[in-house]
Amino acid sequence: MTADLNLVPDWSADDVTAADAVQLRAVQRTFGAAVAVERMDLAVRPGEFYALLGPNGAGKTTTLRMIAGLLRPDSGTIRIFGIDTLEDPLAAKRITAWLPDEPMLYDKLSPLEYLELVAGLWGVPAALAERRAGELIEVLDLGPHRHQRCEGFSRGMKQKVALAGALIHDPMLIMLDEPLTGIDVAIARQVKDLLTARVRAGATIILTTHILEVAERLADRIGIVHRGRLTAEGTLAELKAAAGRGSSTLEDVFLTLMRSDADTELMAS
Amino acid sequence: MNQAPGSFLWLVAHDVRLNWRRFADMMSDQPGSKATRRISILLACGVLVLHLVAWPVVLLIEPYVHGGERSAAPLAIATLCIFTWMIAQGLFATTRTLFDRGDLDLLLGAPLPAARILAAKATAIAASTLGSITLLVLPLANMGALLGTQIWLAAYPTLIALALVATALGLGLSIGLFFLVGPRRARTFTQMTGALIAGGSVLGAQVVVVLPETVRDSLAQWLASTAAGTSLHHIALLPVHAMQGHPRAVWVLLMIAVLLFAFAVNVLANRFAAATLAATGAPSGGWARDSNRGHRFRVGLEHNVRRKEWRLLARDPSLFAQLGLQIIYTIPIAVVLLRSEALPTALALAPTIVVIAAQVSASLSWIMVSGEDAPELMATAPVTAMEVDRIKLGAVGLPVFVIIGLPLVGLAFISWRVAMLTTLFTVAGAASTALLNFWHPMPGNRRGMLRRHSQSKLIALIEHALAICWAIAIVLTLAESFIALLPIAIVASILGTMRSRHRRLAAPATAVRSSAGAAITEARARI
Repeated sequence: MTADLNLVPDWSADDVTAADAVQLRAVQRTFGAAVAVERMDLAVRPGEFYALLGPNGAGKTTTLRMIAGLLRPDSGTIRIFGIDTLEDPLAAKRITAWLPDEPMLYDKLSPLEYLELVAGLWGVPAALAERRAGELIEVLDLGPHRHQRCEGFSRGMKQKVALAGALIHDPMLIMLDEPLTGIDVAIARQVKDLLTARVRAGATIILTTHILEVAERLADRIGIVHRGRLTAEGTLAELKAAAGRGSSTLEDVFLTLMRSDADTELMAS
Repeated sequence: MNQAPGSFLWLVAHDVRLNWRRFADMMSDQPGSKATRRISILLACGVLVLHLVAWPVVLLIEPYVHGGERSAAPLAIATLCIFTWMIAQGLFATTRTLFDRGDLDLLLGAPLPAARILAAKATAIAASTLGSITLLVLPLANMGALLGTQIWLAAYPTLIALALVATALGLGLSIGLFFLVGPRRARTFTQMTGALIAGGSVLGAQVVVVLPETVRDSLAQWLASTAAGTSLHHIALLPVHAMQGHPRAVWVLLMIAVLLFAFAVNVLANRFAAATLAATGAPSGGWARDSNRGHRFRVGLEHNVRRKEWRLLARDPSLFAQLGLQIIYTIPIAVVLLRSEALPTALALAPTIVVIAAQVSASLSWIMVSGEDAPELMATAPVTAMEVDRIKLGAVGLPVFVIIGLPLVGLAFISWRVAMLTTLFTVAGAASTALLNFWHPMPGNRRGMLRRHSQSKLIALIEHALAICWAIAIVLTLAESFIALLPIAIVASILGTMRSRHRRLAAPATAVRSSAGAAITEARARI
């Protein structure tokens, strides 16, 4: 299975410099009067599996979309492996992959045709792209469906095709928004195994999720976002310690920190 | 009349209401109950205006409709056009019911007889088929009756009968195709058939112009001679005679229509239900290729993006059908050109070709930019937005020239000069409407192409203005008038304004500078 995965990155460990994989400094984004992200500072280390947690509308997806270059922040700076995403967006995009919660696919294309297109967009040489596509299709168990159009696929299948597309250019940074929502256990397992393998190979992953078990099991560090701010961050053990006694699971920690943040806001007001 | 929940009439009312709201949404840029009310008022006003317009028209066409046997040819052609149009609409509506599902799963899951549900659905299809043509025909009938020729009112039962027959044929054909070629391909074939038939109705309208004069005379004589006999001798002419107000023809046509409709609903109902259930989860077109077939990657930004656009276009039956219609519309133009071989005809048709190219180009650009299925994929790719836009603009070009190629060849047979100038203005017209759509994308689903103009009335207006300006410019250029520079200058100023407006809107909003895709991404994020 994924333990034997032959997806060796083309970039070497030397490419991963001492710079943070992702660095946000005072990033702010508003939509009209609503503040989606408020002066957020965030640093994700190279080779780290980082999970962003938070209630609905907390600003997790907006944060990721700004890192992916889909939204321009109102203020602040974003750097990916030292590259300023606002100054040199193309250089940043070359080494990143973005997987939104709704798979961005073309229903009328087959998985192979889709991968061919994505490889073309990222400028992956044809032979290399073909080899990687074959490997990804095998690992994700898409073989029998590789020539079928995506329109008849289940959500999980579509998510797998989109994931294969995100990995075909072998990104150093992978950002995933709710990648496991609405997919069955078997597919979720395949996705998790593949992501773990990518981190082992040196890639950095940031994901948002509502499934706390995913963050608990996979993430090296967890950031909790509430009302556009990063209210807590650390390893699971650090977060448990911060939440105090009685917080034995991430769910306890999450709820305790949410309550605590709400109380602080109430007192401040 | 029983309108209790779950009754036949209740189900019909439910479907008619949904169809009406779909129509109102299509006509409005702000879907919702307010829009429905506004469209109702506008429609009522439109009907009133159409009645006023119908007054002089009735006086003009009266001799051709009720002027005796001699008049049968034009009326037969008009009836044929109406009927083919209705069949096409019936096919589209049946496909929508069968494949787009809507509420069919909910209804078939309810404790109601399937036959009743399907009969109600079929009746609603017939009602929408009828509705698509009544707006144009019934004002004529009403005004005719008001002006003293009560026989005009025969149009009412005739149209109802034709709608029932068209629905029955639509149901039969869709279901037949469903079982003949399978659920996956049936949608494609049905939509293509619908498009061909709809195109046929347009061709039918052109038939008088296109056919040689001797054939036209023979046809008119044949129609006159058959009309001179008993009304029921020729079943093919039954609708014509019914339209002329022959009571027996009206009754026989109505009887045949009701029987056909009842047969389609009752006999095909079970098959319809089975087909509907089988369609669940079936992809809406396309089929798997041989999984062993080799697929060699050809990677290159330009090649891949262009091929993706063409593939998506070719594989979407509804879009392909709509574009196919555009091609069909151009055939009569080409035929007329090839037949007449006269310079005045070329001069008259050159602006038509320019307008068609501009409109097709606008539609394709909308599909490729606003209808982009994965704007975020494009926006996150390490490619400049300008580059993607340039490739997509190139991808628009080929289909446009495939569509207008035939009429251009027809022009070339008459005059090389006219053909060259028309080609030049066609390129200019197509490029200008494409650029407009690239600069001002309006996010939407590809399938909503027909209602794209309701997204922004301003853009729709500018799009039409550009096409008309280029049409005027070609006419004036062919007439060797310097005034041709005036519409060209207007186009340039419009495009200049739209370009600067686009820059102002795009620059601060997105991380990806001046990208149509990113603008869509931004808009969707806000939504």
